[in-house]
Amino acid sequence: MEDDVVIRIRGMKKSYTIIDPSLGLSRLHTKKKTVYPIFDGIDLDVKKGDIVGILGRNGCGKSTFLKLVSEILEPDEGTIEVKGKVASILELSMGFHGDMSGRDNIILRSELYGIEREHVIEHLEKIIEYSDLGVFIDNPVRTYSSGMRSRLAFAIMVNVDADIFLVDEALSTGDMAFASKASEHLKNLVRSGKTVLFTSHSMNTIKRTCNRAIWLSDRVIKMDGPAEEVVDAYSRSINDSFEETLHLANDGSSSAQYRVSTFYRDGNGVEKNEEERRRWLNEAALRDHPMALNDLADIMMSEGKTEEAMEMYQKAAEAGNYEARRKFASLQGETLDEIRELRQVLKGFCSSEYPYDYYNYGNMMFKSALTINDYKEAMEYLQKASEMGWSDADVLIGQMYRDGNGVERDIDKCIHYLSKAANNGHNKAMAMLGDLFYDNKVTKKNPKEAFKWYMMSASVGNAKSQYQVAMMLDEGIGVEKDEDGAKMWFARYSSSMVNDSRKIALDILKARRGDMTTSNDILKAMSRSNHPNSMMTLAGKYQTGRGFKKNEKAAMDLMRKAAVAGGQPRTKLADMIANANKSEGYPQEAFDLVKSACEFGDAGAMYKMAQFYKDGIIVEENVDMYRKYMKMAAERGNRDAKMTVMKWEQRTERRKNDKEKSQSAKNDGKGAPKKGASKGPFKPRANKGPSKSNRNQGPPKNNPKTK
Amino acid sequence: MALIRRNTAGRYKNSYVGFLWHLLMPALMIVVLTITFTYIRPRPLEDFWVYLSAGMFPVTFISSCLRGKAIVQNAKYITKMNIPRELVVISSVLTEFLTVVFAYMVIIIVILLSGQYVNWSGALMLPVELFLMLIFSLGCAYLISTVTVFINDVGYFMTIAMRLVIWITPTFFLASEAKGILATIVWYNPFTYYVEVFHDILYYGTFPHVEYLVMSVILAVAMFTIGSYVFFKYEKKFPEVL
Repeated sequence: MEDDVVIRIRGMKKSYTIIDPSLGLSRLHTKKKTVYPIFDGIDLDVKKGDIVGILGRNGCGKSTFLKLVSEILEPDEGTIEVKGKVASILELSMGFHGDMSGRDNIILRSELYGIEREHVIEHLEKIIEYSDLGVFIDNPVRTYSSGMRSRLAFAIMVNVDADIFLVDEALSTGDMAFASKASEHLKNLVRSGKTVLFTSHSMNTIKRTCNRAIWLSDRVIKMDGPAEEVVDAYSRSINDSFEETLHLANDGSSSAQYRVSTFYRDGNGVEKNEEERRRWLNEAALRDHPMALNDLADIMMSEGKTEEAMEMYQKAAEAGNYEARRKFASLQGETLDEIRELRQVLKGFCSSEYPYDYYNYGNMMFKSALTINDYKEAMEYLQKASEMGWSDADVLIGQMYRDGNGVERDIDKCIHYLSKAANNGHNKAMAMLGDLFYDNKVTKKNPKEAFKWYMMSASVGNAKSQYQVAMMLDEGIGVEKDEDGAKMWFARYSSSMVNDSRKIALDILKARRGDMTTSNDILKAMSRSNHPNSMMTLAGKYQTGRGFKKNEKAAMDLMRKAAVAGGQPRTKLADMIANANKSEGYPQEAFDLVKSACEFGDAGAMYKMAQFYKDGIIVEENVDMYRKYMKMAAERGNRDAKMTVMKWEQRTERRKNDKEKSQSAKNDGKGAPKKGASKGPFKPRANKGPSKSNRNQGPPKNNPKTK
Repeated sequence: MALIRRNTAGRYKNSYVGFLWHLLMPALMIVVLTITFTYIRPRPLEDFWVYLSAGMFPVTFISSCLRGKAIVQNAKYITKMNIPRELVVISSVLTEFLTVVFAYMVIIIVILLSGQYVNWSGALMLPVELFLMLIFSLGCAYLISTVTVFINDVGYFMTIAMRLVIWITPTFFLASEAKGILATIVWYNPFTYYVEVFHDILYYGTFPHVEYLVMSVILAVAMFTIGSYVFFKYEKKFPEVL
């Protein structure tokens, strides 16, 4: 063997004997034995420092392959040479003793892996820390959640010393934070000169972690090469192969049945066949596949069976299909006649030949499209708008080419239209292009191109693109790895998405109600990686003592860290500081924080600012500033501010009405002057006087409301 | 070693008396039988409990090794880890063996305390005989657990058969009491020789009969040879079958 080859497999063959499954004694004398080959001549060299992902469908022999390498199984023919010590971690959570504590299990498991007891005890604290189990380490393992088990198991594995690691489906259990930690560890192993082979169904994991992948299929290695290429080819074959899909469809997978129907529709890998398409759509619709229901309803609609179509749209809408929901709503809300009328009116506008009107009609046709012809008409008018340089139209056309709405799917055209819009500065188009190139489902993956578009869109302030840019910088996808740059974009992303963390935490909470510790763990992990919104949420928890021991200091520290990145945490930090120093009036520090938070565009801070100006805290009382900030807060969606502004509007409205009444009484028929109304309800100077006089009468808190 | 610790320490982890539970079952049998045969249906044998306990523990040990579950129960180690497969069998046998050793230590202490006569040259044979019994049982365990992997029914059969064995081994009767067909069965039963040696040492307090000792050696060697031959011939197929 050459120096750097650690696993060498030559002409390896293996087959399983399948015993006739009849029961009882008949099994003893039966001669019905089938030999089922799993591998038929495998050749493979794995070099030192490789991290190899093994791909393939269920039952293609991924696990068997690992067992052969680890010498648990023996090949029927051929040779497998392995150089170095092998640690096979074929099932992470195997071999735990439920009644023993996590600590005892660490020792036990490590010994099974052949580590000296003393050595384990020496490193025990390190392992416990890595497992992140905290105080639970002394509870019996049977009380652990499956996520905790895999964390424990992985922490043990980290301590195993071997040259070659075989890991089976290990990273698919546990949450995101764990998965990324685990894959990071595997990368570290490889960096220190170890070799890793692992199987996973998660193609993303393989892509992110491995430098090489092999694809097992039909008893041989079908493809062997850089992980990205193999994973892409594999996922394309799963998505695009008619035979594969048909196979799954016959097994009763409704999404496969739907895909088969689209194969028949587009003549992709099989002859076009409307009847077969109908049949498969029906099959999938019987299993309540929303898109199949939607498609079937479209067909019904075009055949004029409105009632049945409605029923199906409703079903699809209930199953969560947005398109169907829209169609159902439009069919219900406005009758078909009304839609037709609306279309007519919009079409009438088109006689002006303005691109805006073309776009509007095209958009209307697209949104209310029920048949292919509707889509075609939409396309026609959008094209007209596009020719006149209307970017929104370009985006919509691109979208239609991407999804194949009314036209044959055509990614090149889609890209053409989208880049046209993007080059005209259309933000949504840039993000969509980024998605297209990033996600290989529709086009050959091109991370560089994806990064270019994301970057463009991110600079214009698209939050999702900012996130993508940050992530790609962080992982070095399509661009040189740049952690500082990634941090900056993460910070920009989080200031664009102020409410994002609460959403994530809420989702996690909803998903695992009762398992507070896990979601808290995630929060902790995310906070440690300086995710501003997580830090903020965590700080909030520390402050209120929800799920954690109350710890004001920790809360304050965390919030300070979070405040570096964005507006909302600054506002919160200001609150905390103000709370802590209640007796001494409002501290200047807190005020400065609120002020800077306003600059970050945080609505809560603006509302607070408005309050300051109203009550004269720190700043001079100033009604104009109060109104200015209140309005800004309301515009940015602060509910309290909206309420206040609404009250003003009502009040001015009333006053205007009174005025009008008195004026019309005076002028009698001359018509009410409309000038005052158009000037906006926010500047009724009349308020200023009384509020000033009120100032000396006590707390002016309810001031504006009393008027 | 880790497997043994897992089997012993793990099994009674959540109980207060722990390992003692393992002794309690045979101990209870001994108490019940002693009461039965001393008060309800008196026997001429003095100190019947010593006789009973000397025989009871070896029989429980051997029969637990013969259940053939060692490999099937630990299938996950065989199929998922690359450890020497014989360790699985050895560890399960050793786990049971620890019980016997512990029980005998208790018995010897009790015998010494009650001031019975002890033949020291006989007592020296005790570890030897224990070792022979261990080898014999290991051979049995190799054989039976291998067969059980391929024919699961054997495991169930052995469980039932072991219930019977306790009655054809001189545990609560004297070997000399067996007459006629029963005597033939008793002396064809390989366990008898081991149990009789223990009776000689612990109950009668004499040097054990040499012919029993010789039989013990022969049986141990034979059983171990057959057992390990079968085991190592078929062990490679375990991961596929399990």
